[in-house]
Amino acid sequence: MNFQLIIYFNLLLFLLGIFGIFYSRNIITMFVSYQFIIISAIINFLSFSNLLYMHSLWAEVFIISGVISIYFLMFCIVYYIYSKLNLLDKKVFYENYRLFRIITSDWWGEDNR
Amino acid sequence: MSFESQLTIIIIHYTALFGLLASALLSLFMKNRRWKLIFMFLSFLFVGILSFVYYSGVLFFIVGMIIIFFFLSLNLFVFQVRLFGNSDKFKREGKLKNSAAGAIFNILLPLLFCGIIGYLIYVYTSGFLQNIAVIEDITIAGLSDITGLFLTDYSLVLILIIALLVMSFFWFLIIGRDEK
Amino acid sequence: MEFIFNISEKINPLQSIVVMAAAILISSFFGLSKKRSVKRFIIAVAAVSLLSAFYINIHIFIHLGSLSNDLLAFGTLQVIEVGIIIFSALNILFFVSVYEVNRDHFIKILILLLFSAICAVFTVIADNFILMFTGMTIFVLTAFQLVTGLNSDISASGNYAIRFFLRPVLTLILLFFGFSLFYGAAGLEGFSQILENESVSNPLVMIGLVVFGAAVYIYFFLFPFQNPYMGLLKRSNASSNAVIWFLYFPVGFFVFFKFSELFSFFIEKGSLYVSIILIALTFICMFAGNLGASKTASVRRIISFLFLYFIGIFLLNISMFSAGIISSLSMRWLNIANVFLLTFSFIPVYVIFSRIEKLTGSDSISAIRGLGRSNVYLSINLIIIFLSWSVTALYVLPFRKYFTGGVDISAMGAIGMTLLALISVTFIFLMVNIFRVVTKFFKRPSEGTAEKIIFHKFYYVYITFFTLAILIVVVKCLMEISGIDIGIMDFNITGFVF
Repeated sequence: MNFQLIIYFNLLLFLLGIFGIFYSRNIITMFVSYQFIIISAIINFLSFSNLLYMHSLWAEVFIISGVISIYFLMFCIVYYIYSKLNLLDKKVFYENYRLFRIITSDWWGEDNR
Repeated sequence: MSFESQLTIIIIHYTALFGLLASALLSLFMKNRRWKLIFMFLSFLFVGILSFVYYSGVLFFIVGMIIIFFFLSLNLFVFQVRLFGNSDKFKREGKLKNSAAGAIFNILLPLLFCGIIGYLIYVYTSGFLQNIAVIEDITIAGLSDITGLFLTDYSLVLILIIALLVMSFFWFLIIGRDEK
Repeated sequence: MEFIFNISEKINPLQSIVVMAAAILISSFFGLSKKRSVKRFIIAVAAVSLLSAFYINIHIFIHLGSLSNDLLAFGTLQVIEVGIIIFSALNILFFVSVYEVNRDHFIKILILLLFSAICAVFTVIADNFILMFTGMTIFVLTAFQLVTGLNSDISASGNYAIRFFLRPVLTLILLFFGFSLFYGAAGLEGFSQILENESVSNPLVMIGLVVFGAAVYIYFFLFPFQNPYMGLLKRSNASSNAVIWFLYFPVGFFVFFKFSELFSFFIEKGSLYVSIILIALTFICMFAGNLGASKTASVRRIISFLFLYFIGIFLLNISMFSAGIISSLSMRWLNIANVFLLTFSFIPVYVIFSRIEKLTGSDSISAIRGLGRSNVYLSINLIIIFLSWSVTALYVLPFRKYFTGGVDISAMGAIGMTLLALISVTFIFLMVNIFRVVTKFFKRPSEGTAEKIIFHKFYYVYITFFTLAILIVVVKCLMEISGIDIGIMDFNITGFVF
């Protein structure tokens, strides 16, 4: 297997995730972008472990513990949105949500939203 | 390992990588939220295939259990908004402003930013990656090896994760029951 | 006793965690209870466990010394960090006990608070990337659960809690990716291996470090990405604000300290462009923090902006190090001093202001008018605490060598001059903001508010503790500077700094 190809593919996937975070206008696209970065990290771990370090189990343990904890965190966030927010707020996340926003009231003045 | 087996693994590897990239791009650019989730789940399945190619297939099953919950909850959320969010009282007054210039700006700037970073990374790492010596030996990660490692060296991590599940039970009680 | 000592040695340095876990176990049996007497008992159990954990943390370090193995690293810095986390958790316990005691889910919230403190301690003492990452992820999750649990009766805050916590999710995912690069570069599995390894200048390590830097920046909601932080802190209740300021942010500082040696290694070698970027970021954070505080009438927003200003001081320390004005050791101790300043000044200030907001029902700065007339003692304490922020003026001390003739002023360079100007301007701006708040204390109160602002005696004792701590540090520093030593403390505070 071509090691360079694998690494560049992972970096491409990582950059796709970063692109998606800035491009996304809803929470689904944002989670999709998060998933790309996680996938690129998982493939990094697996390929490095397999091709460079005699299949060291450290990477596998990291993947298990890391992925379980991150996905459980994301599950709790989505569960909270599903069960506690009203439908109007859900629609905001569904249709018009950006991770990075710049609004004047966050710099000075009052926040009367 | 025989030549045919090696060839099979290489074909599966590149197919999975290609499938992963294709499903990733489709899930990112599709407008329909349901299809986004379907392609996102497909990309997760391709990662599972890749885990088998890297002789760590058991990982796919261990982490898959939690990832399934996440996908289920996301699907429920999308389904709920699609089903109940289209009634008149939730319809937005007037349309969202979607100018063509804004849309191009929204794509071009992140593309430029990621392109520049990608180019810099390529230039910086190409020399280093060309000189890396790859090990050809094959070892398969077994469930017993991984659980053995968890129980001996990383028992603290396991205790933390189990404690988290127990503590989260209290949180589900807090948000599940409305206070009087 | 021998038996306890043997067990203590075996579980070193997790003794403080075990004590807090025991408190969680006891509290779990009463988790569903709503009786007031049971709640008081659980508050006592939690307080005793936190105080014991604080004492044990210092005691075991003195008697058993530092520890380093594959998973954990427990040295002087970790003792200080764990002490700060437990102290913050104790203060948050005070907030929760005062504001949330009538809630049905009070005991569950206390259990979550203790568990988040345990996860924070794991994050801090971890040396192995797996334990550190898992600990930090679980800490962020429990912080999310705490904030949403505390705000379950406030509908406006749910939206902002989600927006807030989606950022640390990105931080964690970027850390996950960064660790994969570290692993690929040289099989690095823990922080202690990083600088010992010959491959530390590896391109993958460099990229990983850039990713970590971005992740930490996103975690702290620094300008211009402060939107969810400002939105949540304006709308959520006092206890959850305390969790964010005094638990969530300190854990971020301590994670940053873990990477600071590696950052220092690369910054020392680094270029002019790195210094310029760092100075630009520092200027934005410190200036915008003060500007925002001066342009709002909401006390919560003033405190939120000033908190971001003080986080900008961490960036200032790094900028000064990158410009060669201070050493790496000074940078580290200044960072720790900044954490102490944040903890010991913001906690009492927020205790008083949140109480005033609760009593008057108003978050406006006009609600604190007349505090100096009706509560002279508390006002004097608050003024002393605000004046402790003037210690940021000492950042001009490293530049004195250019003005006292020791070194030619032209050697300062454009970057040095820019930093000096930045420190001076932002310090003056900070003093203007403090003056604005303090003058409100002595103005005539709005009609009907002075009668509402009555503090229980406990608040006087509480604030006095913090004021005394600040005064003791100030007196000790003055004594060190004037060369007086009365032999109380071996530790030299000013010796580390400049």
